[in-house]
Amino acid sequence: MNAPLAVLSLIVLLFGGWGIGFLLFPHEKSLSAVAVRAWLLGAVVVTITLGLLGTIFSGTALLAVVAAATVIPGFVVLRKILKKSNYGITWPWPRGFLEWALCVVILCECVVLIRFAWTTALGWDGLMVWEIKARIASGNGWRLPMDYFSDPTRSWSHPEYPLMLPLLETWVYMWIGKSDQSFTRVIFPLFYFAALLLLYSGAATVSGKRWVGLLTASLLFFIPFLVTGEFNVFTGYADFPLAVIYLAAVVSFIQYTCDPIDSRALLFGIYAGALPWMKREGALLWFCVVFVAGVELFRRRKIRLALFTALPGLIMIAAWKIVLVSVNATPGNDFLPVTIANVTNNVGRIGTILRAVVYVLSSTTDWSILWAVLPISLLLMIVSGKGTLSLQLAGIIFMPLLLYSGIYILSNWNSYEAHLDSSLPRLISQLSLVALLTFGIAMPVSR
Amino acid sequence: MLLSCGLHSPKEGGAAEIREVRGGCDFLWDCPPSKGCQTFLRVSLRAPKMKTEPNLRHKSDRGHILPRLLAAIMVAAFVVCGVRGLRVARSRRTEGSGTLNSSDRYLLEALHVNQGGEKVMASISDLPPLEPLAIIAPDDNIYGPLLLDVIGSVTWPHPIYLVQVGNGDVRKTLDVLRNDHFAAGLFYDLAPPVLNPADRRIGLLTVVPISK
Repeated sequence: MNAPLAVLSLIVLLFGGWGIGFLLFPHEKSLSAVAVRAWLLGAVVVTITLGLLGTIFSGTALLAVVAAATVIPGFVVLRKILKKSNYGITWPWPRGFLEWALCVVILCECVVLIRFAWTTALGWDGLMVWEIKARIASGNGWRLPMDYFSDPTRSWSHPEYPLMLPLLETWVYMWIGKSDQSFTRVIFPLFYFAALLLLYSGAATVSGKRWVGLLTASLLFFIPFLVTGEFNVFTGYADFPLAVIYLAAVVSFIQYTCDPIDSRALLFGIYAGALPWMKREGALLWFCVVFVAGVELFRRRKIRLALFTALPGLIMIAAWKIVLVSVNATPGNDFLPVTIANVTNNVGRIGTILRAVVYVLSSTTDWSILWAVLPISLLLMIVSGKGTLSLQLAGIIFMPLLLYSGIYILSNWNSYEAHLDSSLPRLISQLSLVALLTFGIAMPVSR
Repeated sequence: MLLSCGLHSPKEGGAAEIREVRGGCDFLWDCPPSKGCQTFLRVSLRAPKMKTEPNLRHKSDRGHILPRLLAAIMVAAFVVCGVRGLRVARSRRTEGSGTLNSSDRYLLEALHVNQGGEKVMASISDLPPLEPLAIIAPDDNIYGPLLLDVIGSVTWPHPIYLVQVGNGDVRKTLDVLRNDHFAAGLFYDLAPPVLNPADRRIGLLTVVPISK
């Protein structure tokens, strides 16, 4: 009975996300946009609602209230559609041998991956940082007890980390009525499918060729770090979901630059705003992507729109800070405070950090040739007249890479090399989907 | 003249879309009443897609040969290196099943027992929930910190501590725990000072409830 209930929890979430997506962005009707919105907006809405209403309700009442709040937009839209029967999803049926062949390849990849998903155990952080919160909530009426945030004996589980992933896991546990690590796994394939659709729609939009989108999506399977590596998509780490949300923000931004409809910029703002809700580094990614988009919007004299796109992220960051202060959360101690003295004392680490970055990026066993083709792709884009987009994508990838490398100067671990070893590849993985999209966009095609 | 269908070009104030369909382009225009139309209107026009002029196509293709060749090589190399990496990474994959299957992997490594998570949870289920637990492990044992995290993740709401002790300090440690109102000592790879019937053994771990 647990498996159907776990699936039902996801159907309710997708239904709610679909409804909200349709109400906010009624013009976007392509199947990929609708499906991605349903999953990502559904996940954001369910987790925020669960977090907020968890302060008032608990147990079955909490499940009922959150489920009702989630499905209401879905039913509103369904009623609208049944009344007017004007909701035409654009079904992207493949045309020609190449498109069919690529679809078959992607389908085969998905079958293999679903098999992986069911046989991959959660990794260390997947358990000790993320799933633990869902399990603790399951023993406390489906809400995290306030004591947990300030419990010094569990500070290793990073109570200060944002709650999107733990609350998603809690949502599944709520439906099956108990915590069960096997069913956490149903969440992660959906992030993988969202990544496929985003890669497809991003590359197809810019190139104008659907086969380019399909080819780009099919290449995701060939990045071993994400698919079968130690921290792969199914091990419960938040890095892949964060990478998917980052990709969603980037694709919305690219689609806005191709066809500047204000609602696309607002969707970009919502996706970017979800980044700090998924993981702490999300705030950094949010800053980078909003900065690049802000420059573009200022260039187009859309200053008000630029401010609106920054708003969801600002609210999210500020709200989470307020929550942490109000629950007296144990602060993390992985990094030293940012002071001139701390930076100058540890500046000697730069050489080792750079070597580690080059070592990670050059590992073909982990990334295939993803990072080697990135500079070539950016150059190809410039040659083919997509210089501005090339510059923007370079900023979206290299700004966070620079900041991520820089933070190890302030590592507070006894051995900052060990800190680099354990987390740098994962941080880099957060940028890998955008790097793959860049490769797809750069593919030369005849117009 | 070159003409291709835009993939998706909705305009504000009604939704217009140009789609590629078999035999040409489909132009769809939705004008809902909210945008000033009297009634809902959908217009669908199908125009044949015009063929590219052969000479022009030939010239543009020639300019693209090198970048296309480069792209094809890159895609092939991507797939080849990716497959090689997938084979290496696959050997790192681990499997599991059960409610605490993922936690159990780590407990199996440290305690040498299957389904360790549920056994640990059951062993402390009758202890007062807010009283702390202590894992007592030899000071040179590398599994101490690992057990603190894994056992700590299944024993909420008990506060949990790790006490690493030398050879002769076990009895003294138990006295300290008793004075500090601990609910139980979890002796890892160590024999408890006194064995009594209430003790629960889970592989290399012995859970010793501390009587008040």
